[in-house]
Amino acid sequence: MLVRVDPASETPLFEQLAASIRQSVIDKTVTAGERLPSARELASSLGVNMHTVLHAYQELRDEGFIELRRGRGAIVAATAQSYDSLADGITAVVAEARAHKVSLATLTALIREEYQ
Amino acid sequence: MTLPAENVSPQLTRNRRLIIVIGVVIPLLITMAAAFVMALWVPELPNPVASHWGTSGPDGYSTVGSVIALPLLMTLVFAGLAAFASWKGAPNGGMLWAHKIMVAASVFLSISLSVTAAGSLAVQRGLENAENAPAIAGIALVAFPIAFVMAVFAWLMLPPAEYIKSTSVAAQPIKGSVTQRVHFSSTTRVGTGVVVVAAVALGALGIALGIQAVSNPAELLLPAVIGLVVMALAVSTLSWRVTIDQRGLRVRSAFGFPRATIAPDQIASVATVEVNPIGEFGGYGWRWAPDGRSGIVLSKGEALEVTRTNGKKFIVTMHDAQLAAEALATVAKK
Repeated sequence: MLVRVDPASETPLFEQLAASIRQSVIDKTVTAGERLPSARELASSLGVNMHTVLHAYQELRDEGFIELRRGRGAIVAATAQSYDSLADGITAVVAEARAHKVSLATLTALIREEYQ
Repeated sequence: MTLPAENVSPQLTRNRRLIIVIGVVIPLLITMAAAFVMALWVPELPNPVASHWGTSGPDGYSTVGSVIALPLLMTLVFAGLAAFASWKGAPNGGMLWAHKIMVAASVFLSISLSVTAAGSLAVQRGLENAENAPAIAGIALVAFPIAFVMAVFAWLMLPPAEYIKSTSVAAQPIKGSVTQRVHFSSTTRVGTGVVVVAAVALGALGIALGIQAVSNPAELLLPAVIGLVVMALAVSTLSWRVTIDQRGLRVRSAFGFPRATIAPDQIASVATVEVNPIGEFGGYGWRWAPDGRSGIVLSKGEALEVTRTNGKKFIVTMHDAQLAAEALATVAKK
């Protein structure tokens, strides 16, 4: 699993963390039942506050991506398997955008407009 | 008239012939010759004969038949194993160094076992009682160097080892601002086949310790300690945790030992590479290859390859090696 954060970015760190882990679950870099690094470990690894990591984990738990168990840490939820069609859809959309030479910024703007 | 292309036997056929002659036929002939000579001595030997020596003379006895049969049996099993393991050859039709070692070891085993067995019986000829058998440390001192020299000859008679050179693909850092931080973590473990083999081997070790515990509890401590350490190390190194972050690459076995760390400033370059465990590293686990590479070799296929600033290469086989390599390249770049 790859987690990326940029302290210089305007997006809050916990949001960046959650987004990174969410992406790993959706693209299946981590699978259901797999244990995520402990909050303490991930915090010292990335040089961020442990509460920031816990905040991200709690958000992911509320979204149903992970389960937080006392003593066992964060585990990828079994229910988080149903993103296959979404992942396929995204692949298709990106391929289509590339074929029509639509830039990433334009594509993102289009998706944002559709989503809102 | 056009002749068909020159009809040389392919390299593999030649190598197989060498494997059979050097690795199977010669070792078996040696052990059979030794068995024949020993059989001629049977009338002059005490019964039972001394078969094991302690610090103060013989302390183990067995029938002369088993002393004669043991080298034959062990050589037969090992020679078969050596031939079986090296039969397929290297990808390009040559012999891997791991195969050459098996064949040479077959020669070593047959000579060392035959000479020690024959030597241990030779000193007992004419004795009424095997308890008076003289010490045989001198025989072992002769047997092992001879066996070693012959094994070296066997090695030299085999074709030069073929090395599998897989090309490594340099990894690009993950795109992003210079202030980004990455954390990569993954678990890599051996396949089911290796687990089964390891379980059988450890089971055999456990049984051996059990037999020792029943038959000779007084001498159990040292074998038990060594056996348990070996078991713990083996089980621990079946699964490894890989972590990559601003502190570099860390690999840590299941029980936390052994482990290894490479700091970012020790990293010259990062790449992915295809690894063949048996061919390149001679097996599975924490391995050293003859070409100077070392690493955690658990499965055939993709691996992370780190070249240190001192030129040494470290390998970790893992299914997500590509992502790991990009993460490590990002960290090393800074």
